[in-house]
Amino acid sequence: MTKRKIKKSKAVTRTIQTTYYDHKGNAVRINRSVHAHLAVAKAVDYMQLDYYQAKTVEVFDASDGTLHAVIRWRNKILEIVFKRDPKEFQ
Amino acid sequence: MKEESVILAAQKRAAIISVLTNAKQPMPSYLIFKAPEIKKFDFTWAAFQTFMSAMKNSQLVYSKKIDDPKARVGYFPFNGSTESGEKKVAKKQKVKAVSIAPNLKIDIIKSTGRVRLELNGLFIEIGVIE
Repeated sequence: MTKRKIKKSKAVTRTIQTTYYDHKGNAVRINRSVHAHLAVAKAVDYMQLDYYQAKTVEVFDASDGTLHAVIRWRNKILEIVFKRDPKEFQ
Repeated sequence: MKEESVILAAQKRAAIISVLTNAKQPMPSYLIFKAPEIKKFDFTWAAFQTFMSAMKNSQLVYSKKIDDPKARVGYFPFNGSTESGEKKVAKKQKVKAVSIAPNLKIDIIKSTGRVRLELNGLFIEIGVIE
């Protein structure tokens, strides 16, 4: 009987940080993730659902300080203030 | 113009948090100010201090007392969800579904020759008057 080799998964650091701010500017919630594109999509999802009652959300890399996206509510419209150019990823 | 200021503030915050996460120990503010990532933004010392205090008030950065001759406190980023966030985001309470179906009960009383109907606590008796 052959033994099944179990591959040890490498430890992944969640460097992408998503910070949600309320209308006063206080940090309501900090989420972490591995991939930036998934973090931005999730941030839009949570903002549309009004999950954390946040007004602004910022997605950035906490290891090197690159900003990925800034999304906020403005006049009842979810506005993408800033998003990173996809050409930079390539 | 407003959007640019929002983006610039976000970039500044990201740069400060990146400096603090890369540092293993809590960093005093003068060392953060000297970091090359922060120098890009052309901060004045007063503006940097106000920016750091604003970040502290919004619970992005926490301070701790350190043994440093030049500074009293060192800053470090908060790991995980903030306390205020846990309080604010209340869990949605599950509402127990109340049965809408009527509670109907029919009793036939042989001794009196009557039929008793019970509908959600309301009694109706049907019988023949002798």
